[in-house]
This record gives sequence, C-alpha cells and structure tokens, in this order.
Amino acid sequence: MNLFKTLLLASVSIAPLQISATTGSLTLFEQGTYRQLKSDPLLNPNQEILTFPKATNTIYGIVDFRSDLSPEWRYQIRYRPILESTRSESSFSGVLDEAFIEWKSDQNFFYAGKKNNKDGVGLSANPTDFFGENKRVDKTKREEDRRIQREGDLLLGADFFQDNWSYSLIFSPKSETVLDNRYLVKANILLESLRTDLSALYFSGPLSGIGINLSTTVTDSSVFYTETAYRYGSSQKKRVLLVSNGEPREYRIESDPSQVSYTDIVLGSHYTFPDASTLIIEYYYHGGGYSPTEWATLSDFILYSNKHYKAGVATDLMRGYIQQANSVMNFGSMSQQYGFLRFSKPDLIEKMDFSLVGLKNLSDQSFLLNPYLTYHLNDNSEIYLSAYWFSGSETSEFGLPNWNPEITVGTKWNMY
Amino acid sequence: MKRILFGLIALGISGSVFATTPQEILEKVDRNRAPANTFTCRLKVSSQKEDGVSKVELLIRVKDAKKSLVLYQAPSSTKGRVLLMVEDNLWVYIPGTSNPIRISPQQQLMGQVSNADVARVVYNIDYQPDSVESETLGNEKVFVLKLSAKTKGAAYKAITLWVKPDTYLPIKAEFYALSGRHLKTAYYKNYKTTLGSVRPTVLEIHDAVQTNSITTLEYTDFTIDTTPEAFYQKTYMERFSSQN
Repeated sequence: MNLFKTLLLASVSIAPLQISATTGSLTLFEQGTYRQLKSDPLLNPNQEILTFPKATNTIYGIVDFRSDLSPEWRYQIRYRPILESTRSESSFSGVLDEAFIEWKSDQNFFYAGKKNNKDGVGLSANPTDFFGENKRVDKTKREEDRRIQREGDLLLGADFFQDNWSYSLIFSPKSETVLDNRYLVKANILLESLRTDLSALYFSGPLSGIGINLSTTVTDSSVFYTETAYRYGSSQKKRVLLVSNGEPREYRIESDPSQVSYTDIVLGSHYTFPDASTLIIEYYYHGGGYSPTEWATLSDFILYSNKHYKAGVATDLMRGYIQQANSVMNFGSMSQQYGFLRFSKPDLIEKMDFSLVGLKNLSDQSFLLNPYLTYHLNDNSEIYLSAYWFSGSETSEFGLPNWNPEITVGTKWNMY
Repeated sequence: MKRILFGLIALGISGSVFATTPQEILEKVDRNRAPANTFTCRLKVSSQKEDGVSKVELLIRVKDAKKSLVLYQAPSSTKGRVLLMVEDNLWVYIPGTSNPIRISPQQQLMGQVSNADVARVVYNIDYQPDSVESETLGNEKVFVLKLSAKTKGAAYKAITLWVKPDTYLPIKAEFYALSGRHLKTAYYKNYKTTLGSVRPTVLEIHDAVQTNSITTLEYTDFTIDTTPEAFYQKTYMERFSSQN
C-alpha cells in the first residue's frame, strides 16, 4: 500500500507542471424523499429496533475536473459533496470518487490513483463488474442513479489500443475494506461484419472469476446482449446457521467458510419502437444468490426473531438477531433468478419523459415497480418524480422492506 | 410521368451528363458533403418546436468515412456524452453512469435527427443509387437520385436526393421509412468554400408530419483529423468524453 502511494506521488511529481487545458462540470441535485413506514414490519417490529426517517432532504453535487498537464499527462478528479437532512438532524459528507493521473504513450495509457473501473453490458446486474461487487449499492434505485454514486478503487492500470481490439491490465492493492490484492486482465474485440463486440475478463481476488460479455445488433431496432461470469474461491455470502434448537434458539450469521463455484448470467435485449420508445427486458440468473432452501432458513430466522421479540422472550438476543437480519438484506441481489423490464417513452407529453422499471424475483414472485417522470425545464435543468412500490408476501424479498412506497421529488441543475 | 419525360429529354439533350453513372454522381455529391474521408468538424444542432428551440453542440471525428466519434459539448446536461459509429455498430457513452451501451440504428438521440444524420456525412456507405432522372426544381435543372438502403445500419429505407448537375452540390433530400412513409425533408444551404471546395454548411430538416418542427445542422471548423484508428473503439469512449 505504501509502495503504491509512493508510486502515485512519484508519478505526480515527475509530471510536467505546465497546464495546457482544463475542463470540468458541476451538477447539483436537490431531492426530497418520503417513505411510508410500515407500522409493524417483520424486520423492525413495532418500529422499535431501527429508526428510519419518514422524510429526508438531500442536496448533493457531482464535481468533475480534468486537467491536461501536457499532451501526454493529465489528471482527473470527481468529488461528491452530500448534505442530508431529516427533521431532527443534518449531516454533511464528501466522497472522493476519483482522483488519478494518467500518462499517454502512443496508443497506450498508464494510470495510477483512485478510479472507477466498470465492466459489463447488463442493466439489472453486472456479474463481470468484479471491482464493483463489494460496493454497497441500493439495487432498488435506477441503474443511472446507483452507478453515478459510486466510489472508485485505488488502481494501477494500463490500457493498450490496437486496431479493432484493446486490452487492459489492472492491479488494486488490498485495503481496509478489501483484504486481498486484486488483479484484472481484460480484452475487448469488435467483429464489425457480425455487428458484435466481445470482451473477455480474468479476475484474481478472494472470489476469482472469468467473464464474457457479448452484445450484438440483431435488427435495425433491436440489440441482444449477454454477460456471464464464472466465479470460484471464497464465498462472499452471509449464511444463517441454526447452532442450537433449544429455547431460545441459537443462530449464527457468518460468511460461508467453504470454497464455492457458481455462474452468474444476464441475458438481455432492447427494442426501439417507431415512436422512439424503448423496451429493455433482462433475465438474471444469480448463482451466488440464496437458494429457495437458504431463503427458507433466512425467513424462518426472521419470523422466529420477530415473534419472540414481540413476545418478550430474550428480547436483547432477538433484537440482535433482527439487526443482523437487516444487515444481510441487499434487495435486488438476494435471489437466484430475476426478471427485469424497463420501458422508456421520451416526450410522453411536451418536455416530459416517462420510464417504468420492474424487477421481479422469479423464485418468490415478489416485485418492485419504479415509475419515473422527468420534466425538462430547459436545456440544463429538470425536475423529476419517482416512486418505488414493493409487492410480495410477508417473507418474500420485496415484501420485507421496512417501508412501502417511497416517493421522491427532485431537481437537477447542470450548472457548468 | 413528368419525371420520366424530363429524364428522356435530359438523355436526349445531355447524354454526356448521364454518361456519369448514378454511383459516380453519388460519390461526387459525397465528396462535396465531406471534405475528406478522415476529418474533424464542429456541428450545432438547433431543434425548433412549438415550445421553443433546443440546441446541442457536437465535435465530430470521422475516420475513413465509416467510423465516427461524436462528442456532445453543450448544453451542460449532455456534455461529455459520446456516440461511436463503426460501420453498422453504434454505442452511446453517458459520463459517470455506465459503460458504453450498444444501441440500435433506430434509437434516436436528438429529436428529429437520427444518429446516422450526425455520425455519417456521406450516403454511399449505407445507400445505393437505383436511378437518376432530370427535373426542374424552381427554375433550376437538377438531377434526382433515388437511393435505397444497402446496409442494415441505414437509418432510412430510401432517400430521394436533388443535386445541382454542374457542381454536384446537394440541394434537397427526402427521407422515407421502411413502411414507405415520408419522414422528413432536408435542405442543403449556406454553400461555402471549406478545405478547398464549395460545400453546403447548413442542413435544414423539416419534419413531414409535425410541420412546425424544424432542425438545423450547422457545420463549422472542418480540419483534417489525425486521431489513430485504434481509438475508434468503445473502450476509448470514456477518454474521448473527458476531452470536453
């Protein structure tokens, strides 16, 4: 780690200091969110264990800055200041998403610093986005929203460009949050006449992987794509273990210590209608998700903890169980099979765009719907109205969230 | 019938002109539209609707006529967005939000202007001339070329193109959908000497249905480009985006 920082500082210090060009952008968001809290959800009985604000107001910005130090050298920074307020308190935080320096030599690029490396062609999930898998993201949010709010990793990398293909070598040192060094090798090729591009990835880390991405233009109006990752190594999944069936039961939530191997696949297609509307449909098989048996164990754990907490049996223990159950939840990634749909209709009426996203857990049939309206005030600003509505049985994935629905009203200004 | 008659007259009085094949005429028109197979230019797109005018400014790099990188430079809401077109393959990159996404040729990014309208500045890659006729447009004698799509990536099923017979400068074009429906009409205007030849620098597009909808494409700053061919790839789009 120290060696990496030394290399980064050295690379900055030897770069020519004459700045030849600088560019940047600033986007500001102001949004209010209202959540209809459930009075007695399974994961927060009688609203007693966890406190969720009904309403939040968030002001955040995305600041991009790039400077060309010379024709060969440049550095780039992305910073995200966030001011979040509820009725009772406000908090400010700042996230440095990217800060890296890059050196160009002929058709090749070498970089060091904090950078977001994103891979994959899917929308509902990106199983080949190996550097992104440990980042906590809210998958109930629109893919645009959750991807733009993503912190980069410390990387040392190189991209090499050849005619019609390119390849990359990336190293990420271990850190406080990622306990092992990680390496990624990837190659991308375009098969022009087949209207197809293909990328192959090899990832080495705690849970290694081999990935293939393919996208192809089928007709003038449709595109097909697939993203596949074969994973092997240490399991990343938290499992619920019934240690003792006494009264009260003793459970343990822990990382699965076994070595695992599984496959994640996204199959998708998008179609453009004559009126410029688009329909995207995806199927996501998540081999690393909870099997129906594992989900039944987790559901039983939640039901047992809830019932005994409300009955006043070992309340501290049950409170701890419920808190642990909440920490395991990662909505949109729990199951092994999902169906995803997104319909976008630009110019629904004058200056107003509409989209509807649906995500369905194909194992328990629960789903979420996200209608989204955008009204363009002018070329640089818009207001938006969005809702998340969850549906499912009490112990299904989208039946479990502690609130339903969630409504957001916001404005976005592209200041510069 | 009138067109055939004009065609026969033209054949009779100007046989030497039609010694030039429709394909050669189209290639000459294309040479007047684009200064070279490889070049850079800036493009301002103004879309006029009932509720006002929206403007987009683009930087376009073209390689060997069939590869294009288009960078959105204004307004700030679309700044940094990149469109890549390689033959029939199209991708869009939206900064910060995603990887480059493959899109279909029909997916429009800007009002009445198709991706191909922006990324392609020649016709002969995607269209073949089926016939040429002579006609009078106003008081001017013109050639009328009938083009049909020859690639899957062509944005239109057919195009009718009006051309000045002496200079091979395009005057007007009508664009038709797969169904045969007339979609829009484009007028070539503001002829200027650019990189050694007179070329149209403004393209005014009128929607055939929403007659109040007019989109104007204004080309400036033509230069010969030296971007390596290897950079016309989707993996380069993020870097091109940050050159804003």
